[in-house]
Amino acid sequence: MGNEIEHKIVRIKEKKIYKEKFCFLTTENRFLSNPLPGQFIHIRIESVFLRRPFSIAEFSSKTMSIFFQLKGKGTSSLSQKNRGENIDVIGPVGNSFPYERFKENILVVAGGIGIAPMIFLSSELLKTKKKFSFFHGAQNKNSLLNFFLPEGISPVIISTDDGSKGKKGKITDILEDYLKKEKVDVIFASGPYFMLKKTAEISTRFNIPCYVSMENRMFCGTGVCQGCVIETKDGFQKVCTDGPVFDAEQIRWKDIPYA
Amino acid sequence: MHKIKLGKMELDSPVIPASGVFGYGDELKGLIDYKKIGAIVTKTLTIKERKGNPQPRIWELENGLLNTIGLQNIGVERFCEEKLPVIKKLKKPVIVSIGGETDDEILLCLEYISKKDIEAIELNLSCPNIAGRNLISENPEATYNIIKQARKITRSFLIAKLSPNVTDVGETGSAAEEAGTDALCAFNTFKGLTFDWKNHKVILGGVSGDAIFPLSCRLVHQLYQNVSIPIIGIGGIHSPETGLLMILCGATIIGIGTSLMINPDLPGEILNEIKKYKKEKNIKKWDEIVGRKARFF
Ligand SMILES: Cc1cc2nc3c(=O)[nH]c(=O)nc-3n(C[C@H](O)[C@H](O)[C@H](O)COP(=O)(O)OP(=O)(O)OC[C@H]3O[C@@H](n4cnc5c(N)ncnc54)[C@H](O)[C@@H]3O)c2cc1C
Ligand SMILES: Cc1cc2nc3c(=O)[nH]c(=O)nc-3n(C[C@H](O)[C@H](O)[C@H](O)COP(=O)(O)O)c2cc1C
Repeated sequence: MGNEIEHKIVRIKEKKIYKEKFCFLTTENRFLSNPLPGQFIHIRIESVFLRRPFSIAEFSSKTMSIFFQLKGKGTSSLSQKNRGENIDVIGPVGNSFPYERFKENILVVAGGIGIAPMIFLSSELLKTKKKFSFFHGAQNKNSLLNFFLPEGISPVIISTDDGSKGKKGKITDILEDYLKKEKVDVIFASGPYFMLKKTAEISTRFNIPCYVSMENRMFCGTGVCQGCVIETKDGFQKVCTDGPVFDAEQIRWKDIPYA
Repeated sequence: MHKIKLGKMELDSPVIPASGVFGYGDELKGLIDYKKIGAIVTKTLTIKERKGNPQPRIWELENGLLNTIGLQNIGVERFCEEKLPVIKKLKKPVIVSIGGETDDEILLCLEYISKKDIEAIELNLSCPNIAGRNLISENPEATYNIIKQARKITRSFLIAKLSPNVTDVGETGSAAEEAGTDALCAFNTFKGLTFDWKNHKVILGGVSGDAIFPLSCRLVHQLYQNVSIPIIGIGGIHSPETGLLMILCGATIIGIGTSLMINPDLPGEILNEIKKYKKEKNIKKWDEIVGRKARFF
């Protein structure tokens, strides 16, 4: 991979809360090496015992951002941190989306808060002048999260389960319709377990390479404890450092309990 | 800084990682200051590769962790081929942890590893995550027997890693000492239970982290009063004070597991605390600090 995992204390530069459920947190960037899209940071949060992993959503030479949904105690306390306070991070951890190999006909699929790493990925795709389409799906218009996407992505295709904005239906249904009509060379997906599983099935059916960002409960987040492994065709693989991005074909979906 | 003698080894620091949270030794180079740790301690290796237990394996507790990893490892042979040459280059004493489901498996592994150039071998006689057996170190006689046999195989520095789940650690510790182990590692995780509320299932595993410190420290204190070989004190150390206290209660060196992942700077913080204490109490020799608060007077 190239970049080593580091331990840093970073200052919060900006915090935005959306709809009381989502938090976009920007800190100073003190990593010596540049993170790659798909990599995450492992954050210490005082109110809970274990560190919590979050994908890097945005990154520049001076700043780094994460975008997260308030789920439980850990994310709730992290969202209460304010500008000027410090947080303790380990990172950058993991592999990245293998986007360099592809030039065009790239499809980025982001379900719900799964959009976080895809913001970073999109910026890199734009920077390297790759041609891609962006799918974003959510339950309803109030939970759409595409407002942090960099400018210049075309097209951005939105869907909601209830049809309150964009196309009506599950993002995976929209994906299937799209694949019937358009040429796609690769799919990069991030989102809830069921969405990823369905996306993997569809990509197999259409014979299109597909890479998914997986989640799991994590302890060390550095590749040493074997806590976050998932079943793959090569046996157990660690989500933290063998992933989080996996070739969807490699994953033994039926053997993965979803948490 | 504090050169500590352990057998023929000279450790730069009395703080070492605990087995299982340090991979095969070189993975955390960017994260942990290797100058602050005294040795490299590997994940427990078995004679054959082990797949480990199914998911999920990590259960967060209020103040600790329950794990059910099940000794997933690449096997001792692959370790010696792929990893050992790399960690030898780090110029630190290497402690290789080995284990298995039966005495024979452990001894086979020992035979293999004892031919390699390593400083010490830790026998994991206490992993709570391997099914279908009582832990060797829960039984003094079984502990005595395996160490006696191990001693016939190797003259390397041997460490016996004990289980805290016994009525009297003095008894298992003494059995290990009598059979010829060079040091004791005290302790592995405590057997514990948590509940999977989603699937309504009881989860059995090993408990580590902050919550177990008072338990393991008390057992180290007790062990110190029963044996005369060095003790590597492990269990819930999570702050400069708890690190120092484990030494005052009888540990010649201390190991950090869970908290090393929460705070990778902890080894350095503990070293500072020890330095401060030594200065305050005008302590010159390491022996004066070890067990200072556990001796009979
Ligand atoms: C590589 C990676 C990247 C991630 N990136 C992002 C991101 O960019 N944005 C984002 O919003 N999230 C992300 N996540 C998810 C995020 O880490 C979690 O949402 C967060 O850790 C939740 O913490 P919490 O304390 O708020 O919730 P918790 O209260 O810890 O709950 C977390 C979940 O753990 C499970 N759980 C814990 N204990 C038990 C139990 N005893 N029984 C059953 N289930 C249990 C539950 O399913 C629960 O929903 C990522 C995860 C990974 C692995
Ligand atoms: C995830 C995890 C994996 C572990 N794996 C091993 C192992 O392979 N061999 C071993 O002897 N102990 C293992 N242990 C036990 C630790 O080495 C240590 O004895 C125990 O966790 C108590 O110390 P702590 O509270 O500082 O973590 C493991 C502990 C954890 C949390």
